[in-house]
Amino acid sequence: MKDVYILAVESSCDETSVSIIKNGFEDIATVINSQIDVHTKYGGVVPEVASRLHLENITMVIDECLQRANMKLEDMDAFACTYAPGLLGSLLVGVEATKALAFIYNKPFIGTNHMMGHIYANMIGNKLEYPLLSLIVSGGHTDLILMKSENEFEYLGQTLDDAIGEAYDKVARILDLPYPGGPNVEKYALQGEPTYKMPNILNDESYNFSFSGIKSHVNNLVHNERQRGNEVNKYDVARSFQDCVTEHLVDKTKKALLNYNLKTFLISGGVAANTHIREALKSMCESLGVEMHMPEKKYCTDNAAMIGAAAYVLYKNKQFSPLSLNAQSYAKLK
Amino acid sequence: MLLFIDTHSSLITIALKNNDDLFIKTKESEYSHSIYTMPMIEEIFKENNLNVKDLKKIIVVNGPGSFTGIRIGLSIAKTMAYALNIDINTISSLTAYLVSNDNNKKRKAVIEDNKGYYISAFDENNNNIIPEYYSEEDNCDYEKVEEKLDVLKIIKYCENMKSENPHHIKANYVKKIEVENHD
Repeated sequence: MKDVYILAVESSCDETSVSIIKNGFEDIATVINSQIDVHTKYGGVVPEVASRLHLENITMVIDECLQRANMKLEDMDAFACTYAPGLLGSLLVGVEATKALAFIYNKPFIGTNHMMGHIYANMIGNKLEYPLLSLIVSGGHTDLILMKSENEFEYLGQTLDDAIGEAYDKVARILDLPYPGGPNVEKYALQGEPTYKMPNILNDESYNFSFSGIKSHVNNLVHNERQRGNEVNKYDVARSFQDCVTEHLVDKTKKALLNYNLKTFLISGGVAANTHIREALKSMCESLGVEMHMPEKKYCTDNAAMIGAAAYVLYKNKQFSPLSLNAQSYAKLK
Repeated sequence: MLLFIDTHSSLITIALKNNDDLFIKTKESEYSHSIYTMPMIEEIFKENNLNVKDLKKIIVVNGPGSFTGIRIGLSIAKTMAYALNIDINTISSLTAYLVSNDNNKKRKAVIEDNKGYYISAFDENNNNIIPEYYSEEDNCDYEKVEEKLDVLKIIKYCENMKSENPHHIKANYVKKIEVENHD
């Protein structure tokens, strides 16, 4: 079969990223333009600012990606982008730019779900066996998804409130750690001990998650200590929190693997870059004889390579999008 | 062949000028510019049997107006100009109204949003006598022009402008957003 090159664009949050992916698994070139410095000033992502920066950078990022790949737009077999979920104004820049390219070169336009991208980050340089269990952990999601084949998504469980990444960011705020909060909580946890008692999270038969209770617990803990004139040990709070949420993830994942008798597990999403969580899930999988896949850390956070990998699956199934596709802030995988 | 794109308001305007022919498509849209704009561009080429590869120049309205609307038009315009390696010019929505309603008088263009007014004024000779500004009230005394576009007049107005670098194309927001006011 002829090689398939897809140019993919990701602009759902605060990263403008463009990749060229060959046959769905080979990353020919990936450029990520991060706005993190700008948003740090505001303590978080400001949607209107993010949209403005995407518009300013979009063609430069496309151009740099083509130069790194030493390829031309004419060489592409399809043009793909993230169309959902994410910040609408940000998504729209990538969606409209990609539509323009597909129109000019008369090639398929493929709108891709960002979460499908996170899952397929595992396909880059890798081969997967189905059925499998997929855990997405990010700032907006905590989903356990059963995949019987490469394009079938059955939600087993989801968070009932905050996403895990959101809980990390909120705990960072409570502890006065700078943005981006999640990675800083992880850094602090590395140097702490699990000395603080944490609640037992949603210990039920479902595959759902919950992270708002523990966030409130941490908030009360810090607040109560401050009222008594004490300061908490931030390192130990971070460690206690991280151990607790990790155990929650491991428990629910283990239950799903056992009950559905699955032998393959994959993790993805920004929080999959967290070493403590990766290692805990890995040792649980080893104990069950389950093969665990995790993307390289650079493919865990938002990037266009994973969008290109997911778009290749849609390309093979001829699941193309019309130029009337609108961006959506929320869309479940089908 | 020249393509004109305006998405700053609830009326999307796409026009294509090929030699002496001018084709225009318009569409009323509230919050659905993403659904209509690119298909309108595709159709205007198809319906008139014209090839996008023959395009030589793009003129795009870059605001002020709906932030999302502007970004949709500009994302398309700058990507097309970059990919086709052709000329591109931006024109302000206020200037577009002022040159479209060229009545040999001093006149102002006003665009209202939910909190105030974007205002600019031209004199008899199309010189900008009041630079664009945003105000909570419409405090400019000149006669107000209609919010109506004359694409041929706009094309003529942009005729001798030097092409902009597509990579540097930005929106003309005029108004500051809240976080900028706290800088």
